[in-house]
Amino acid sequence: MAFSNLSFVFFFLPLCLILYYLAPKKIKPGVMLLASLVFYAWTGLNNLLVLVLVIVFNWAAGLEIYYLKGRDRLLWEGPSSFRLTLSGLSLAVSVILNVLVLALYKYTSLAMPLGVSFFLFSAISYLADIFKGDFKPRTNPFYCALYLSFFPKVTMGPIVRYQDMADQMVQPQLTADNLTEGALLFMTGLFKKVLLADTLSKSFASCAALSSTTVLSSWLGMIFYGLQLYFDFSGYSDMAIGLSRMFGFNSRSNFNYPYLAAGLSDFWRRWHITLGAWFRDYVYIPLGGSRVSVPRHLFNLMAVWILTGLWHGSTWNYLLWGLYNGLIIILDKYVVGKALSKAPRFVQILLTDLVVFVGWIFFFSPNAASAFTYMGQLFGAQTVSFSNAQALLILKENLPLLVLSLLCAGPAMLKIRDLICRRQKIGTAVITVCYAVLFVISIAFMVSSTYSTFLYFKF
Amino acid sequence: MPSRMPGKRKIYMSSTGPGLPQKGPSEKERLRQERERGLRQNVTLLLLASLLLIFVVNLIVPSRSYSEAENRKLAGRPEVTAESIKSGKFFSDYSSYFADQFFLRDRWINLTYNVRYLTGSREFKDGYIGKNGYLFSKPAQPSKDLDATVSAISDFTARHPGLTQTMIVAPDAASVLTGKLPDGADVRDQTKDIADFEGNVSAAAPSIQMVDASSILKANADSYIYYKTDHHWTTLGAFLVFQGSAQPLGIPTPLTPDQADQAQDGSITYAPYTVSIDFRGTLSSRSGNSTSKDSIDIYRPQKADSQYVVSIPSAAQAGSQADGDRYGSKKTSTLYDTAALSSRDQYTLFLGGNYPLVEITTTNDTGRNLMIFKDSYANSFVPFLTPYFDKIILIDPRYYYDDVDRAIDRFGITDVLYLYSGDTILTDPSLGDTLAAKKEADQ
Repeated sequence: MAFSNLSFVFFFLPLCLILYYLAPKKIKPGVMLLASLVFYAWTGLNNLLVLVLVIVFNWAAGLEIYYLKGRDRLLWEGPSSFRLTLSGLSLAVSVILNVLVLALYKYTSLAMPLGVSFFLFSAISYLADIFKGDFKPRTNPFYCALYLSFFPKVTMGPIVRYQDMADQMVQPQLTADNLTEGALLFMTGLFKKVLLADTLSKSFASCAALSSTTVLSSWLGMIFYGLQLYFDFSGYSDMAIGLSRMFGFNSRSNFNYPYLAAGLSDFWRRWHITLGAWFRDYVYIPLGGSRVSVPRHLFNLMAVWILTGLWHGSTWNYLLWGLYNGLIIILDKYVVGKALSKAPRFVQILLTDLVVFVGWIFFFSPNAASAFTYMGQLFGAQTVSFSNAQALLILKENLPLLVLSLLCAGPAMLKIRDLICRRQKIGTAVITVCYAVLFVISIAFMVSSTYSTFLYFKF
Repeated sequence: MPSRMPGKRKIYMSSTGPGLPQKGPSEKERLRQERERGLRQNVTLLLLASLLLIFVVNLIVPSRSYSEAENRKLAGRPEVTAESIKSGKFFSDYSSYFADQFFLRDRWINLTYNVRYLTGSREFKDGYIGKNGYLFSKPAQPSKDLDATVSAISDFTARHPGLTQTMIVAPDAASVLTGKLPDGADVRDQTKDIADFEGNVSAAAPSIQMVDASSILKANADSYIYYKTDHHWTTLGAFLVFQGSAQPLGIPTPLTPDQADQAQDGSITYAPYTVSIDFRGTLSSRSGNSTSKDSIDIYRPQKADSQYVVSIPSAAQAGSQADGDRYGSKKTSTLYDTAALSSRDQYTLFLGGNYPLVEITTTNDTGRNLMIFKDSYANSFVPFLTPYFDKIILIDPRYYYDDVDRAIDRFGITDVLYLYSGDTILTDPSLGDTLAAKKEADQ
């Protein structure tokens, strides 16, 4: 069930909220688990079975690692003081099994259960953190189950740590602030997804459907796609975080105006933050991070980026995209970084956006060859002309949408909103009416849409 | 509301802030949050009230089985079976059911249409919003198997060399009313596709007479020749093409009352009557537009002594494999189904819809029996033909599975007419299948 689905928003969610808030405090987490399992069963009981198996396996594996840490033995001492302990072996085996499950779904034609990439990564972080000694796993499988199946984040993230949820699983923080901020965030996310992302996807489709390609239409298509991807994913993340908070679970944010980033490294600290953090904490730093020799550092970086590419998809495109990001980051760190940082900020931002948007071409092209063809078209190869009547028409029809999207991709809208709200009663009333109008239009769009899925759904 | 937990006061900002929790907010941040609190409370109220209200309303409002606006059946509550829950089909069916039965569904769709139109969008699914309230369907891409249709027609011609054959293929509105398309719409020119197709048919079966419906319609593009809200041509459009086909069909030029001075020997005048002024057709359903509407005219031939009986055999008699006796056996004395005028799809006024086979027997004595291979465009054309033939047999190849050669013998067919819209003949293979010679079936 997608969060922008009518039956989720107006059937499942109200039902859940009512049951949850009415339930006695001790039962609330149980209600949450039940709701999450029903939510996941919505995609098919077969998928629910996979989730349950993953939960059971990782719950058991976590306990085993913890138990083994208590009576650990050194198995093997390797080069550069690498030590393999019994608990380390247990961790390695469990992690490998989780990764194999992920690979199984990615590389065979088996239907992928929704969110398998997300909850398997959560499971790996669960095991790794137990091994690091960050927390003590509970013998009651309930908590591992709730952590992995928590419906606001099970299908699309954000990828949170067990420790961040642990306290709240026992006692959800049902405060007025959480409820209200959660509601506001949920609304904003809904608008981003239903009003902006879905409309941008139509604009992108109209560029793709043109009978003749021009330089202008290629740029427009790429820009529409990049904006659509952002609003789709960040909107969904906003809804996920908003929902978490409405149920009393605080969560870190997943996006921080990524298209205002200066430099690709900065971008990846602002886009899909929890994924970047995951790779940093569980791959990059264990490999040594940047505190190593230069060749090793390069290796570490490329390893992380190749894996990131593979996580996003199983075709060559995604691998190339990962390499592309890795190479640019290396260039940034070692070659051009210092020079660029002296450039005016807006130049840095524009360059970063250019690099990122070109990268998304790998996402929407069916294969590597067409991706490179498209990149060529940006600069005039295989195009009919710079622009033509149809491309100009698309630009003309979508100019308001483009301007609005660019505004919303930064903090401008929020600043405007706050400015108006300064006038207390009147301002707040005006803004509330705006939200109401947008909500009504969102409902209308949801009713009218054929199923329009979140782009990251296949991950 | 439960009060805050003492001592655990983590401030998480909205997703616009940095990704990690901070030690504490600055003074500026705190003030901003205070102001924002009023808004947050309002929006929360708005959200929760809406969720609750809509949840309850949807429970109360009774289900509809059919949507007039969308012209389709609406999903009903799915049954809970072990299999459907296991595969997840129950849940996806439930989502469809919930969306289909959402209260005020039609109004929401109409609101979307208006919002999209106001923000400059001129496209809807497979269509365009044109000028003057015209809606257009996007012309279909011709099938790659058109050659099969062409050779089926030519084989059929070879098997029946004595028949007089005529072909009329009407282009869709988007290829004719080009001035009414939204600016810059990238629309396929179906008149070219039709010309190519007709050229291939002429090369393979030169005896078939071609009527250039595209030119006739284009010459009259400023008249009301296509419906604004439906994918069919208007009766006027059909009539103009009828006038242009008089010569190949071997009949005197038909006239409207104001053309009385052009009367030839045997000319019949057709008087238009308006039977509806609030027709909202298929394009209106598909787009969500509810403001455009059309009027429907019928053209009555002023020939007092021509009567006819329309017989629609049951499925079994027609030889169709369509579901059971969906049609039953009907005999009426009119080609118009006036009950359609009180339903949503008023175009079914003409003939009451599409059937595998319709047999029209007239009181004429011309010695000519006409067989028409058709789609729904012909439905508003057929009433023009009744004064000139003894029998008119309508065959819709999409539903007809019997042996057409036997039908020709059985009805004593002397003339054949192919009367189609471009969208159907360029994409649908059933005409080729119907015309193909049937082997001697062992019944």
